[in-house]
Amino acid sequence: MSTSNTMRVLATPLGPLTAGLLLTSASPRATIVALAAPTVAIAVLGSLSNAIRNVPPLRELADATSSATAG
Amino acid sequence: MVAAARLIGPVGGVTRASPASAARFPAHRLRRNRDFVLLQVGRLFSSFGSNMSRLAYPLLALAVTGSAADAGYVSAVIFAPMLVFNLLAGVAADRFERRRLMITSDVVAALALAILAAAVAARSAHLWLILAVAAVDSVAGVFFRAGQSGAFRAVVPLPQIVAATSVVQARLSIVRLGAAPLGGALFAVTRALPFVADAMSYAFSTGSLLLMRARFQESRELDRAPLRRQLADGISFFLQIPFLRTTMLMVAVSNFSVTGIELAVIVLAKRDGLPGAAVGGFIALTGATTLLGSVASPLLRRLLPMRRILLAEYWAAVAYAAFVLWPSVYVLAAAFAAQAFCFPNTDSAVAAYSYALIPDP
Repeated sequence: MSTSNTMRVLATPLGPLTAGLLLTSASPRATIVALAAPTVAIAVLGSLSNAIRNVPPLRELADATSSATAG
Repeated sequence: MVAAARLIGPVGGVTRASPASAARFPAHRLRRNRDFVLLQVGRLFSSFGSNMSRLAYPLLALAVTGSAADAGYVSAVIFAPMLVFNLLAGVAADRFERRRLMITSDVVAALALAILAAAVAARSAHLWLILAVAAVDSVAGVFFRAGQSGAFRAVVPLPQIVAATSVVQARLSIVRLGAAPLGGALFAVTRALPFVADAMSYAFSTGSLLLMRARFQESRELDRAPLRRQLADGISFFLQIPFLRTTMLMVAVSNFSVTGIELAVIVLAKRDGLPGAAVGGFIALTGATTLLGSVASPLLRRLLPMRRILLAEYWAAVAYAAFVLWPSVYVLAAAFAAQAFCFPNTDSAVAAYSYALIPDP
C-alpha cells in the first residue's frame, strides 16, 4: 500500500508548480485549461477502458480474494 | 491540501469491522477510551494548525515576492516529501519506537515553524526560508503519519474501528471547514500568526502523545528487503493488474490537477484583492462540498453503477469550462467545489478496490 500511495502522489508536486509557472507566464484561462484538460482526457480514457467498464462488484471481488487466500 | 488529505486518509485499512460489530461497540464507548480521546484531541489541534499553515505558506510567498511561480514552488515543496519520504517513513515506523518517532516529528516541525514565525515577525522571511521550513514541516508530517497509523490501531479495538473512523471523519470535517478561513484571517491580522498557532498546535499534539499509555508498536515480521526491491516488487504487482494500473494513473492525474487548481484559486483570489479570510473561505467551500459528497456517498453507491462512481470526479472537471467562458475566481471556486463533491465517492471506491486487490495493506 505504501508503494501504491507513493506512485499515486508522483505527479502531485507538479500541479502547483505548473499552476504557479503558468499563472506567471500565461493567462488564467490557459492555466486552468492546462490543469483540467488531463483530467477530462482521463475521464474519456477511463470510460473507454475495459478495466473500468467491466469492474466487478466489490462483493464479488472480496469473495474471490478470500477464496484465493483460503486456497 | 485536499489531495493530500484524500491520499493519506486517517488510518490504514480501517474498514474491516462489520456494521453489526460497530453497533455493539457504539461511539459513546470510545469517549471512555482515554488513549483514543487523547490521540484525537492532539490530532485535531495539530491538523487544524497544519491546514492553517498550508494556506499561509503560498500566501506568504505571494506577499514576500509577489510571484505566482514562487507560490507554486512553495506548494510543490509541501507535496514533494510525500513522494520522496513515504516509503522511508513506513520503514522507520516499523523499525523505530513509534511514539518517539511521532514526538520527534512534532518537535522538529514546531521548531521550524517557530523560526519562520520569528523571521516573518522581523520582516526578514526570504523565499529560501519559506521553502526550507515548508519542506521540513512536510517531511516531519510524513514521518508523523507513518507512526500514527500504528498508534490508531494500538488504541482502538477492532470492533470499535468503524465508530472510531466516524470520529476521525468528523474531526477531518471540522479541520476542512474551519482551518483555511481561520488561517487566512490570522494571516490578515499579522503574517506570522498562522505559523505561531501551528507551532503551538504541535505542542498540544506532543502533550497528548506523552499522556497516552498504549504501546504503539505492533508485533509483526519486518520486511528486511532493500527499499528499492520493495518498491520494484510493488510496481511490478501494480502493472500486472489492469484495474490498479488504470486507477493509479487516474489518481495521479487527479492529484496533479486538484493541487494545481487549488493554488490557482489562491493566487487569482489574491490578484483580485480578496482578503486572506475570503481565500480561506474558498478552500472551506471545497471542504463543505467534500463533506456533502461523503454524506451522499452511500446513496450514490446504491443508485449508480460502479464505473460511473469511479469516473464521476473526472467528468466533473468539465465544469472548469465555465471558467474559460467567464474567467472569474468565483466561477473557478464554484467549479472546484462542484468537483470536490465527487471526491469522496470516487476515492472511497478506488480505496475499497485497492484494499481488496492489494495484499498486506
